[in-house]
Amino acid sequence: MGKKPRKNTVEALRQIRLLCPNANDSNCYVSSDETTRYNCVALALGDEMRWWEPTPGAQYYWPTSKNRDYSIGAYIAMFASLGFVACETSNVEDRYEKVVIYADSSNEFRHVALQSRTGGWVSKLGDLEDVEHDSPEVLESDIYGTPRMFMRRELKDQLPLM
Amino acid sequence: MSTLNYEVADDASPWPHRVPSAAFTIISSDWPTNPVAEKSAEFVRLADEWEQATAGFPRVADKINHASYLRIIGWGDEAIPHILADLRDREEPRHWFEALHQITGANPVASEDRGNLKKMAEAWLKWGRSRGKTQ
Repeated sequence: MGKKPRKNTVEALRQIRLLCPNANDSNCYVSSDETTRYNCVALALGDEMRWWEPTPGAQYYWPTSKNRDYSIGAYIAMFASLGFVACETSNVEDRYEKVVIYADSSNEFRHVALQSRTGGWVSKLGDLEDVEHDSPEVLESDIYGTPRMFMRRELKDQLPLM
Repeated sequence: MSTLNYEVADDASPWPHRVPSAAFTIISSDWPTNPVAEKSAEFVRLADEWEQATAGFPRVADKINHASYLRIIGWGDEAIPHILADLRDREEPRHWFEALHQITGANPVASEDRGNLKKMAEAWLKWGRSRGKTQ
């Protein structure tokens, strides 16, 4: 039993388009097999072994006991605790890594994507695959929310994950 | 032993060759009188329905609000052996941890293992075995 790697990227993209209607085969590329091992927050922070989420039952990983909720403020505080600061633009900056946080109309966190060195973005889609997408807006949807906040940290400030 | 009379009309046949109208008798030694097998089949159906509908959701908080997931939680203790078997048998665990927590009130996952789904599954399986809750 268990999931097998899904090789058919056409089928993967069809499923992604149900979640994010802006995605298509010229702005969104599947770049991994599907896995439940990590989520979008973990991917953005370079951790492919854990699912980071402040679930009510406290069984998933969350680095702090403070701000343990789904508000965008709690997620911003969590990223800030790891060296990120808010920034104005999505431009690539040589000495920085950059993330974009998505939220819904209730100001609840929905998703986070990591900027690649080429200026594109990398996202983990729930239990599905990692994707590379041309802009944050490609994933904008009811389920993934709207890009709301860019944050960056100097590459030298990257803290080791606990 | 159960029997079911099943009529197939010519016009309703989905096969390329016409099937003559006839009355068939399906005989099975365990249908539909095996409640354990029926419950397992129902679990598989609900779990797959839930996974199919929510796999792309970015937050566990949204996955666990799906009707099929909530229905399994509604089984209470009866759901536990099915959930633990699913955690045991799958190469990558599914997100049953909140269901187990809601049903039992327990949280056997050590703080250093939080977020690591395989270790979380192992912790719950150990918890289940120590309480005779596994299949």
